[in-house]
Amino acid sequence: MLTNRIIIYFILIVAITACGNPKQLSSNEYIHWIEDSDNGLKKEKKLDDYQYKVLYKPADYIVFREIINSGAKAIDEEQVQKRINELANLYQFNFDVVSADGKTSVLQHNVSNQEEHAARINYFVSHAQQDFILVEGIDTMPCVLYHFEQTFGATPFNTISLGFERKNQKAEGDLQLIFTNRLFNTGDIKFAFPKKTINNIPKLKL
Amino acid sequence: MRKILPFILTAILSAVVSVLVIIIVFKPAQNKTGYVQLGKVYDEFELSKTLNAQFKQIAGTKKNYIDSLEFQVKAIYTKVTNDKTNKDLQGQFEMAQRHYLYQKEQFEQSVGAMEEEYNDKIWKQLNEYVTQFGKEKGYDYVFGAEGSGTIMYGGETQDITNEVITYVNDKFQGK
Repeated sequence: MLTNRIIIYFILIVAITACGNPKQLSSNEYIHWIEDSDNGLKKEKKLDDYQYKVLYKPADYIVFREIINSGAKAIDEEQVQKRINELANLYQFNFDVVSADGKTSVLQHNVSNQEEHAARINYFVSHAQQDFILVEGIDTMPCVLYHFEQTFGATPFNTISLGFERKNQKAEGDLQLIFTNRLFNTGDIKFAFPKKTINNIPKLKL
Repeated sequence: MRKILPFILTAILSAVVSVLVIIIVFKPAQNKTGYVQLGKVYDEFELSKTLNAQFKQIAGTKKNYIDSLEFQVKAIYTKVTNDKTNKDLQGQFEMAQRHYLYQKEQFEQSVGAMEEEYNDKIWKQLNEYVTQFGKEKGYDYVFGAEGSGTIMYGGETQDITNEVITYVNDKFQGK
C-alpha cells in the first residue's frame, strides 16, 4: 500500500515537473526542433496552384536567427535576453506562398499581362495584411506586423512575416491562423496550433 | 508402405504449400476503393456551411431590396389604372418599371456570379483534401456518388462518406 502511494507521488512529481519546465536545447537542436514539421510549428497546405507554408516563430528562434544573420561571433546573453523580452508580446509567423510548379514566382505564376502582375504586387504589399487574423481561443486578433518580402522573381515563393499581439506569455487557447485569400479565390486558409504545442516549446540554451 | 508414407505426406504438403505460395504471389493486386456521397460531403463541409450562410444573407438583403422596388412599381401601377389620363403618373410608372427591371437583372447576375465564386472556393478545397485523404489512406480510387447514375450501387463497407467528412473538416481547420 505504502509502495503504491510512493510510486503515485513519484509519477505525479515527474509529470508536474515535466509540464512546468519545457526542455532546453542547444542552438542547432533548437533550430531543427522548431523547423521539424513533426513538432507542430511548421505546417503546409496545397490549394489549387499554390502551396501555403506556415512557421510559428517563438521569440528565441527569431533572436537566434538574427544573431546568425548578423554574423556575430560572440553572444551577449544579456542583450539576447533583452531582445527576447522585446519580442515576447507578439505571436510571429512566417507565411510562404509557393507556386506549385516550383519554378515561377508567385507574382508571375499564370499571369497573363503586366496589369495582373502589378495587381498581385499591390495586393500582397498593400492589402493582404487585413486578410490575416489570428484566433486565440475565443479572441480574434488583427495582424499588427506585416512584411512582404519581394524577391523580384528570383524565387518560386514569397515570404510574408506576420505578427499578432500576444496578451500573455502562455497561450490561453488554441491558435488558428486564418488567411482569407482574396487573390486566388480559395476561401479561408486555416492553420491550427494547439495551445499545448505552443506552451511546450523548448527553450534555447545559449 | 509405412516407410514411404512420410515421404508421400511430405510431398503432398509441399505441393499444397507450393500452390498456396503461387496463389499468394501471383494473385492479382486488388485496388483499394471507396465511394463518397458527394452531396453529403459538400453539405457537411465547414467552408460550405460558412459560405452558404453568407450567400443567403447577402442574397436575402438584395432580394428584399428588389421586392421593395417591385412593390413600388405595383403601387404606381394601381394609381395609373385609377387615373389613366394622368401623364405624369404614367411617366413615373415607366421610369419605376425600367429601374426595377434593370435592378432585377443586376441582382440575378450578381447572385449567379457570387454562387459560382463560392462554389469554386468550396470545390478547390474539397478536391484537394479528398485527394490528400486518398493518398494518406492508401486508396487507389475514391469515387463520387452524386445521384446521377455514375455509381449505381455501392456496398456499405465501401461507403467512406463519414470518414471523408471528418477528414476534410479537420484539414480545413488546419489540423
